[in-house]
Amino acid sequence: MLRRPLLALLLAGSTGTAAAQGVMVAPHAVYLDHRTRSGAIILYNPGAEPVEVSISAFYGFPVTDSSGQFSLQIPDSVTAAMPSAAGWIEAYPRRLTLPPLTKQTIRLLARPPQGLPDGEYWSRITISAKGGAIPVSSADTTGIRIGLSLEVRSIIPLIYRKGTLQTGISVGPITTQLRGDSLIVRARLERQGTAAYVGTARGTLVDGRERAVATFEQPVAVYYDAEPAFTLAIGGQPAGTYRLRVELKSDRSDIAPDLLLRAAPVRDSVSVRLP
Amino acid sequence: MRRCFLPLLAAAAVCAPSLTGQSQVTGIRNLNFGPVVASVPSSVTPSDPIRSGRFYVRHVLNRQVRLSFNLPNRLNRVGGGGNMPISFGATDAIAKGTAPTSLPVTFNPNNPITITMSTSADMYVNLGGRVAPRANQQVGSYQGTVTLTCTFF
Amino acid sequence: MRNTIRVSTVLVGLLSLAATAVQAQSANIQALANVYQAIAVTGARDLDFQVVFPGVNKTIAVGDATSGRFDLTGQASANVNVSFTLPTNLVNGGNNLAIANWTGCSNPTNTTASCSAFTPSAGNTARAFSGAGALFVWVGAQVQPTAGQTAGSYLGTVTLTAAYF
Repeated sequence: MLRRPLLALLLAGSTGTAAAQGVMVAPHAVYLDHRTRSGAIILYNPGAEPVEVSISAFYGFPVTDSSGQFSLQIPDSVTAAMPSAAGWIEAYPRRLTLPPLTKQTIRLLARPPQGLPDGEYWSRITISAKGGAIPVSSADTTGIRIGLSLEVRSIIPLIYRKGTLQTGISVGPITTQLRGDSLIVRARLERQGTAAYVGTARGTLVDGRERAVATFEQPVAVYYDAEPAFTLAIGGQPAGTYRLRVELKSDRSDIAPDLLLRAAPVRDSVSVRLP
Repeated sequence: MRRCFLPLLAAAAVCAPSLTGQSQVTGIRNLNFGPVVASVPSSVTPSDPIRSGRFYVRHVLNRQVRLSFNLPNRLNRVGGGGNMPISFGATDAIAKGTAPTSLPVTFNPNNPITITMSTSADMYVNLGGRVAPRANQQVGSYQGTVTLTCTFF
Repeated sequence: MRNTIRVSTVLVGLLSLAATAVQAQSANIQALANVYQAIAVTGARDLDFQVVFPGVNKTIAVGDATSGRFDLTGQASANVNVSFTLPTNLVNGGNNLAIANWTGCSNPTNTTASCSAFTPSAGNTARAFSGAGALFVWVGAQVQPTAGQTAGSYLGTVTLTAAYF
């Protein structure tokens, strides 16, 4: 029984249970305007260990894939025709160590080029956080020890506005598809106006007596166009004909109302037959 | 009779300090927590030169003034939609005269305090506090009113 | 004259009292705050291989008690993309220890039961927060020490990137 441990380099590659490491980032989205050209991100370290943080920016915007899932479109290279703010957004500080249970404000300053045309410009801000120490522990110093440190990165949108901008949304035909005990709802959304549409999609499935039997509510961000998939849990609903009502409004419960561009609500509905 | 009273009345008015003219309290700076993150409590110390609330109090040298705060226990969201708890601790208020020799007096703003204006006829009263936004606290601006009532003796 | 003096004395007393009577004044300031909602990505539990033997591969599955776990919080029901930067080798000076066969799983609740499996990679995996704004991600992997693996501490970094929209 002892032979194997003796032949082998037994070891305790134990990393143990390290304290959680990461940072809280607020707000969910940063809005800058050409008048003030500045904004802020607040970082908070809720953990018991210091966290090394770095801030960077890149250009990207959300799109939907064939299954209706949102993902970031990141061009291989940024051309002058793209509304990128990434090249002229600066963070102060860009690197810092955040002690446990402390807050730090990161100032974001925009230095747009001279003669920037009116419009909306986009960037993504990456906040990288890494624990200060790699958690390796072992009672035996002769064996193999393995330490896997965890680094986390949060990417949030930054929107820079110059001039008077408008936004809106148009909704294409609504389609539905049963998948298991869910109803998948899809519709093509096309942004209108001169700025990204940031809002919330809400759907309600009502029965023949106008009672709501299922709902969804999902934040959406449509920079150009998108065809997102929304899921309604309909398990246990009796067969029959229902009506699905969909509404898009330019409000978001995670973004202050004064930061969002207002657009008229858009509503549509479609009949749904459940087997 | 009438001629006799008038000089006496004038003398009394001159001898007794006119509190109406000399004593005042003025709010000069809001208690501003600035951006706070949901679920993360945030404090402002009364010594914070930018975020602490501040009042100016003027009275009469060697006279007493009683300071009494009316403090909110919640801030209301501007435009409606909820409120956020706010609290004040035992060391969240500091009164300090304007004379070079004035020493700060730290006190609990939840309780009234009487201060003798022994080194200067005026002073600043700074106020700190603590907000405790909930995890699901609705985003937006919140505000509440802090009232300082001074009773001049 | 006597009456005059008496009345005058009383008047002076009253006037003095009036002049020195307590007087109250109030002033207001506002208490202000601006609330932001936060997002968070936290490395909540290290991927822990515990005892490793040279020449013996060891796998930690996502459902194991020592799998790695990331906790994410964000806007209720919002979409989020998850991607990883993963090591292929753990390093000890000039020595490498291979790590491969990464596995991943996510769930809006903190249990690996019925979690949605995926293969961690640099590509985006689309997920959504729960109605309470929570998402949990587990990772597992296999370490492949050679028979002659040099003893020592082998280190690496697992990076999770969460993109919010």
